[in-house]
Amino acid sequence: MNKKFRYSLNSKAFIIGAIIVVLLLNAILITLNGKIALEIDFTEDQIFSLTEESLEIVDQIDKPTEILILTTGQDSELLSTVKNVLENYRQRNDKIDIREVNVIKNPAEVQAYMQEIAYLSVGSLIIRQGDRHETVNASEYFSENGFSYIERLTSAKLASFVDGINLSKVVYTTGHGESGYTSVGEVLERNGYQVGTIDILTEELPEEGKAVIVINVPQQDFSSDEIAKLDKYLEKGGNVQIHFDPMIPSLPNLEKYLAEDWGIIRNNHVILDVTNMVGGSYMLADLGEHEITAPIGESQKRAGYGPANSFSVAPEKPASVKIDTLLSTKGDSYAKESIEKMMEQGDVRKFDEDIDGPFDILIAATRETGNVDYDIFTGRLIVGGSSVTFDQLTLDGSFANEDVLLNTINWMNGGNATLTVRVKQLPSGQILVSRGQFWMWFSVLVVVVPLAILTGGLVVFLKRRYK
Amino acid sequence: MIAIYKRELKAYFKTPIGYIFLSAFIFFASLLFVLINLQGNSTDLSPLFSNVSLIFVFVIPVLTMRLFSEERKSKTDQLLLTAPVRITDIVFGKYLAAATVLLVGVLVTMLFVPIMELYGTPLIPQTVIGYLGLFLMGLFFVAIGMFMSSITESQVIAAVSTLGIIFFLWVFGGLNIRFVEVLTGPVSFLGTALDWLMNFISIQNRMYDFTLGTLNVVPVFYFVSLAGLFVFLTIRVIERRRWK
Repeated sequence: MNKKFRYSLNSKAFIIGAIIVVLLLNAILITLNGKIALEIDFTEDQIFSLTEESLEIVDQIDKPTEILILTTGQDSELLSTVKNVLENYRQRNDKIDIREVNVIKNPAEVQAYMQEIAYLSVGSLIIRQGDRHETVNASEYFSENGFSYIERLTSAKLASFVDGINLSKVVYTTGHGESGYTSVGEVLERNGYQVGTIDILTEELPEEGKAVIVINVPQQDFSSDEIAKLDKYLEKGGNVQIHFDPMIPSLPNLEKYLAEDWGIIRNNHVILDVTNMVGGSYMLADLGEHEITAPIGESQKRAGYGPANSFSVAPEKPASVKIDTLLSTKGDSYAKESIEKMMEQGDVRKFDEDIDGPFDILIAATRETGNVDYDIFTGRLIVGGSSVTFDQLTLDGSFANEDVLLNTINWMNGGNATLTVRVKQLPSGQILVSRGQFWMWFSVLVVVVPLAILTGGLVVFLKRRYK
Repeated sequence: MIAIYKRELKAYFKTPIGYIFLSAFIFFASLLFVLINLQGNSTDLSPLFSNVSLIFVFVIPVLTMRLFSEERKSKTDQLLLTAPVRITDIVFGKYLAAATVLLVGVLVTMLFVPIMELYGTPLIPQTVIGYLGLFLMGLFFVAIGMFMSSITESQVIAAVSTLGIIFFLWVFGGLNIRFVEVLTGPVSFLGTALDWLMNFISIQNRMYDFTLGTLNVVPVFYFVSLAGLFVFLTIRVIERRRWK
């Protein structure tokens, strides 16, 4: 073997070796990327990372769980974003697998879910564990005002596969002309809650600490038997939400119970605030300082309310009761004596006789019962004064009401029954450039700068040529 | 290496090539910026970064075509190859000079950020990551161009072949084909392998990661390692020529 041939052979082997090493290292990294996090999320709201709440849920998945992403074989920005977010779930817990399914090419793969798929758009998810499955519809991924719900929806559905997390129920009372849960039920169900109704007079109340009973804008009063049953439920650590509205009449039994046993007085006037009105019908509220409202302050969204009743603390409030404000109206708000008075004035604007704000319109109260010799229970009560706060407004992504609602339920469940995953603000920035400014920058950047550089080149070229 | 770097850098600005590259790159990038961002009222530069990768396909061959081809054609390479300089110094000197001109172009387009600052709030972290991706992609393309320039004495062939390779990488990855769905049955493994390969070489996929505002090790390593590989291949080509 001569020297030339040996050199040539060595050189080729060296080159092939280098190519193989580079390809192999890239392949290893790509494979690792599916298993461990190899990226840093620099987006302002960390939209490609999981929140602590999601991680807590993901860590509790202990059975093989598959997330199928429905596709039609076409790549899109939505699919890339979804895959990027979901990758975090697989990286965190190897029991979770993510797979794309082309529903056109491989319909057999999703045959069992055909009825549901008819209502799902491309990029939707089927999360399955054993015989059970849940779906997440891609049409709910983004709100019109630029928030991403991908993580919240996925985590909520995953939570329903975890024992101890999926037991949370929200039950709405019936039999008193209540508003029910037409709007808010949708919000609760997509966040992993079981929603139902209950007739507290005839049915057994759910287990304390595992459910929230909601009395949503009742038109008729509760009987003393019903109130006694509710009180017993709260005494054993139950959770109850009661929502009033200026349009509903006085409910003597219920209001007396609230005043005497909880020290909460319903002020049956009508609170308005035309200065802080949004969209002609809703008003902006201030958040109180409470663990329920603390995470909402971070999301830059604001809570809203409609015409409302307010609440004040009774002078003879029981010592075992602690009351905190969750939402209060702004200083510009005012209260009209009653609906009738407002009708008489014929105007929603402030009159001299109106009472000046601010007012408390959503409050959280706790009451400890029992004594040191026995168990001490904490009953939790939320009382609201506006029917829309926890109903229509929870569907409007521009308000923080959905977060407030979910956080109240989370708080009532002791913070560990169902976790509420914060929605993320999508990175988008707006600039406003006038036509004149546009043409100015067009001239500078597209014409002047490239032309100046080109002229420089031409001068250099000519100088060298005629030197 | 420093001497070669300085000589090459000067050469870019003593000939029209550096000016042509910069003016063409800045013209197209600015055109995209004013149309996408200023007219679209958006501070999100990610569509710009995605499209600038296509501009690179056409302007980087201009930047790299003369690196070795010109020396070979004018026979000055004999002088260089017999000089007491290491081959790695020659290659790195030339590569860094081309990379510097590329960096100048990228830096000029960074003026877009303060312009957006005048009318809104730019997404700074995403923008910085995007520019990093853009520059790394440019370094990869420059390495390809330098390699092509090292194997031919014709600048035109060097430019066209560089354009062909970069365009192939750009287009192939953008094909919306899933081989695993086409090649089923006993050849399904081939479909999986082709899908992996397509995903691997896809410039658009790698650049997309940077436009999201996330800094991922995979695309960074992809651009750096492949740029390194082409620089290494260039060294081997020049070394072979010197040995000959």
